[in-house]
Amino acid sequence: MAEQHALFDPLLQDLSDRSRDEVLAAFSAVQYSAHPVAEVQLPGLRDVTLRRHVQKMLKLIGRTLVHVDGTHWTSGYADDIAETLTAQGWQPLSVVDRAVLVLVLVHSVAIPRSEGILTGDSWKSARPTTVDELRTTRISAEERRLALQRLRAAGLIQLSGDHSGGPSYIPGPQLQRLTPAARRRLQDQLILAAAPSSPIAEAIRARAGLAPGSAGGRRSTSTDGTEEGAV
Amino acid sequence: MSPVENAAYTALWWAKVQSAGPLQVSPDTPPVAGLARAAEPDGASLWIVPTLPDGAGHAVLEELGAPPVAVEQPNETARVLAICVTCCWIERDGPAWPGVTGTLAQVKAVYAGMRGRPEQSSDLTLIIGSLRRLHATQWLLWDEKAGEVRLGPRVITWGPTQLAGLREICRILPDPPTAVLTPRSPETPADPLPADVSAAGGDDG
Repeated sequence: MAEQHALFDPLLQDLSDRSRDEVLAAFSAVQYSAHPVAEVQLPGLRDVTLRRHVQKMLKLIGRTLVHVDGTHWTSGYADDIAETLTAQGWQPLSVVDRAVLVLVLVHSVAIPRSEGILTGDSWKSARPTTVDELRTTRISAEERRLALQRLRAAGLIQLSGDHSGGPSYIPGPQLQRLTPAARRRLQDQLILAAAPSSPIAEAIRARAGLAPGSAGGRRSTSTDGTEEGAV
Repeated sequence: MSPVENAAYTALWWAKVQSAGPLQVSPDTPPVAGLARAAEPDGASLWIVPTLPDGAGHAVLEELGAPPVAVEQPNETARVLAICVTCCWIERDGPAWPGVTGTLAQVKAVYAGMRGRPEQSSDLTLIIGSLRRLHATQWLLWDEKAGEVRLGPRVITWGPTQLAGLREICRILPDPPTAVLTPRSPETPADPLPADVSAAGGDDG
């Protein structure tokens, strides 16, 4: 495309050629790599000043840097942008895709976490969700197959390495793009959906200033808990 | 718009095209910095597509050994994209967008020609799977019902270097047969026409 870039050039023009290359490499790595990238690998992430430029580039397009495990970086939607888009009803995933994604998150993360097998607030998990666990009378086998295909292509789920009982799935690398606030919202939404009358659900509603019995404020259905899924 | 409002407007549109891919919008949508515009041939809508500065993008990932989210059947998918470029980009001195409409019959014929053998029924599964994948990511606009395909709005980001490479690929691939397009339904004409258009819709290929 054109050599001048209307959005990014004002930010990049004062950098030396070398710094510009390093900032663009780091920007590309956090934006397009499937997995978080190691800080040590990229000067644009290692150097605090250059990293600030990467963050400014991301801010222009509604994104932000997300620190993973203290040593890696990726990018995700800035919380204010995600909130505005959600309020506007923006939702690129279909209801079926969200439902299937929620089932994988429930079986691979929420249940192991409630059993104390998974700790922390990450949505990464090695506990596979089997096709049997994804069966529900509300979604036909064909719809489920197509949804799994789309979710895999989007990096929201991935095949687990365990093929002993047929294909099974784990959360995809894109879930690591969730910011801390987005991870907490997703967790809250799953609790409100799975155990709406539990004391912890009550606490979530109290914290969010919601009336008892409300499933989640302006988000009207349980599957909307995955609005951050489009990462 | 104030600079702050303008920045928020830009960031929101960018967030939308990142989460949903290129978007088809009304032509009166104000321009957004860094988002290229690809007008539909009928002028009724346009696509907005993200662009990046030179030195940014997927090419960097290869050097870093940090792969993007994997495409399923990447080789077949790339082949089918190349075939569709051959079928739909016929004015090769100009840009690839919007190109012309190609057909599944053309894609199948070029695919078999590229393989150097007659068409086989198993080709269809691979071709349709690739067309669907490329449609989902807006590299192509695939109308499965009509069996017709166009290049997708993402192709407007192809620069001179990429077009030169594609020109060479088109030269190597077998020439597609002439496209025979499905007659358009007269139910929803773009402009109000006299009532006796039902007899129209003959061979427009």
